[in-house]
Amino acid sequence: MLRKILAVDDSALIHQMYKLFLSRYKNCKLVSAMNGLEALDKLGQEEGIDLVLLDINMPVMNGLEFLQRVQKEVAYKDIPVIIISTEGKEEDTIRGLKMGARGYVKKPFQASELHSLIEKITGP
Amino acid sequence: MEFEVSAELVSIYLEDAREQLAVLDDVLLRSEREGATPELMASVLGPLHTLKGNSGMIGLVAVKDFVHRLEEVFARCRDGVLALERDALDQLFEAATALRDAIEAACGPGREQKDLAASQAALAALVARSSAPAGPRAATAAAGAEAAAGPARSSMVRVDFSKLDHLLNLVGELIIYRTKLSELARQVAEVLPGVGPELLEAVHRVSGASTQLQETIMDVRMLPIRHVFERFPRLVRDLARQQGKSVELVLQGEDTRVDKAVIDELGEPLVHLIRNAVDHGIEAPAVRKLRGKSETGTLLLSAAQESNQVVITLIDDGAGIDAASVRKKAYERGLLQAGETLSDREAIQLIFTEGFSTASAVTDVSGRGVGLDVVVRSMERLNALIEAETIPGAGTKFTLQLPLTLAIISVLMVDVGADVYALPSGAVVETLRYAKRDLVRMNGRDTLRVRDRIVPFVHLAELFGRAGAEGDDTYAVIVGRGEKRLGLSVDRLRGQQDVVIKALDPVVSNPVVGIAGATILGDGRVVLILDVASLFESRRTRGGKSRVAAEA
Repeated sequence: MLRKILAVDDSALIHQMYKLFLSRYKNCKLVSAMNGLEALDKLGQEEGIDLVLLDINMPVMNGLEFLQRVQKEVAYKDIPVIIISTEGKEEDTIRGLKMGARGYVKKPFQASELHSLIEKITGP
Repeated sequence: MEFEVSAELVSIYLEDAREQLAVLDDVLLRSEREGATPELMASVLGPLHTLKGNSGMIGLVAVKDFVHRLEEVFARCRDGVLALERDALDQLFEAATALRDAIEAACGPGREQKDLAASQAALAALVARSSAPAGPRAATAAAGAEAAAGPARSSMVRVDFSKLDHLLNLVGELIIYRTKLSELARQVAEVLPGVGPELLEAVHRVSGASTQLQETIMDVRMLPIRHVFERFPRLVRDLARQQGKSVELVLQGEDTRVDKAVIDELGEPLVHLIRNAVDHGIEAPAVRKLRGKSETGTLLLSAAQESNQVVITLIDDGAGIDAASVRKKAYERGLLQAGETLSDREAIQLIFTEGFSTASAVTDVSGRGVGLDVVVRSMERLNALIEAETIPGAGTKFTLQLPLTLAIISVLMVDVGADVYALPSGAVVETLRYAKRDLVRMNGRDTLRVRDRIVPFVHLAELFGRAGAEGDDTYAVIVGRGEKRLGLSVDRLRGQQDVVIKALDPVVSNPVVGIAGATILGDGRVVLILDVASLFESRRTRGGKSRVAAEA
């Protein structure tokens, strides 16, 4: 199946990592956004996003604010979101999970952790 | 299935980290000058947070932990529970240096892991000193501040510089063939008047579009000179503190845009000049006071674009250079012969001469010396000019004139025998016709009389080991380097044009004295671009005889 994954992070390095990690999936399209606001734009432009990988700490619009807005939109609220959390910001991760995120991965993450979570949510 | 941290990831990490470290330095310098406001403290938290996450992702655990400590310190400063006193600020400056060293070492060829324990312990002590831990309020405030501080990078794309180089090379070739095409179209139009006007019109449009393409690509390669300047405030601060001096660095024209290749080459010579100015130019506060100057010395570093050049000036209000001591030193070192006289202004330029500055010469020539021939060599690589002016007691001004780009230069094309060579136009002083009888043999070498001046002369055909088709009556190109002149014999002048330089493979260029690079003509012929500086050297050291062994 075709997977369309939206990755939201303000670090170019993390985007490069996603590209590398997701290269194992043959039918996978990776869409990148550098902050929450850009991610909202991408949701509007790209049809059928299957999954969002979401950083919390970002300029312009942070991950929690993005999550809040997504949950209010009927069209988007069922898109599963995985929070990519950072050490020392556990309370943000918990808030995100309470707001409807489906899971989380802690930075620094391994490829296998990301893969198992993606497959759990979108199927093998 | 796990992944190696590839060289590409490391280079992306390093590039990001340098930006984040630059913010850190800037925030520290500003807190020193203007005080550590909560807003200022908060503004560094976003970049530090990203640096922490990135460091963890590429496996630099020690760096990650260190940045985490730094975050804690700044969060406490922002919350007002830790005051940045003098000693705390010094520790943070040291921590920033240690962090930079550790990151550069970890991303360097040896992937060396530096020990950060000592500096990290100092940070932990700072955290412990704060009156209360940073509470949850801090976290939300930080998110807000980061939202305000971070730039929106959404419309930016990262491109490997080598791709831009490749693009420029392709456009260079396009421009070469365009010239050829225009010529052919003109000939076709003469014999086929039916299609002529349309053909010429089409070629004209292609020509216009390719010029625009070239200009756009050049523009993409340009970066603000800020990328070089931004590390100097920290450098000046550290140097001044080491020497117990007080120096203020004023920057101007940081938005001036220069080709990235020039930017990359410019840092080192400027560091040398700034170091020199702080070490030897600006006096100790007590001395300045005695001389009726303000105790704080000023360094003004400015950049401005003037037509197709960038002019950088570095002015200090220090002791100046004493022309008499420079002259004396030059006689001692045999750079000036007894009886040779120089004006003060000419004498000052001797500080750029190789061999003038040695460690022992540094302090006694009212203190300038080390590193200046390093600067000169950089300037030659950049095809740039450097000049010094000084007023004893009042200060010194260095002026650097740099090309906007290293990728395209204007050259004079000349024929030597069956070959075509290119001479950088900047080095060409004049061209003239001469007859064999105008050459004068002096000390076993040919010289040419040009008006009232005797100019050393090199037969290019001989230098490059080519059969000289030199007739009795040929051309001479007079090239200059500073005050020096050198005559070069050529068979024909082809005219001036802009060419895209293709660097020679190091394997080839290493042994080839006298060659700066190559370019390609419309007919596919490779033309070597002569390196004027090394032609002067070859004349001086070998009496005009050739050491140019290899043919590119």
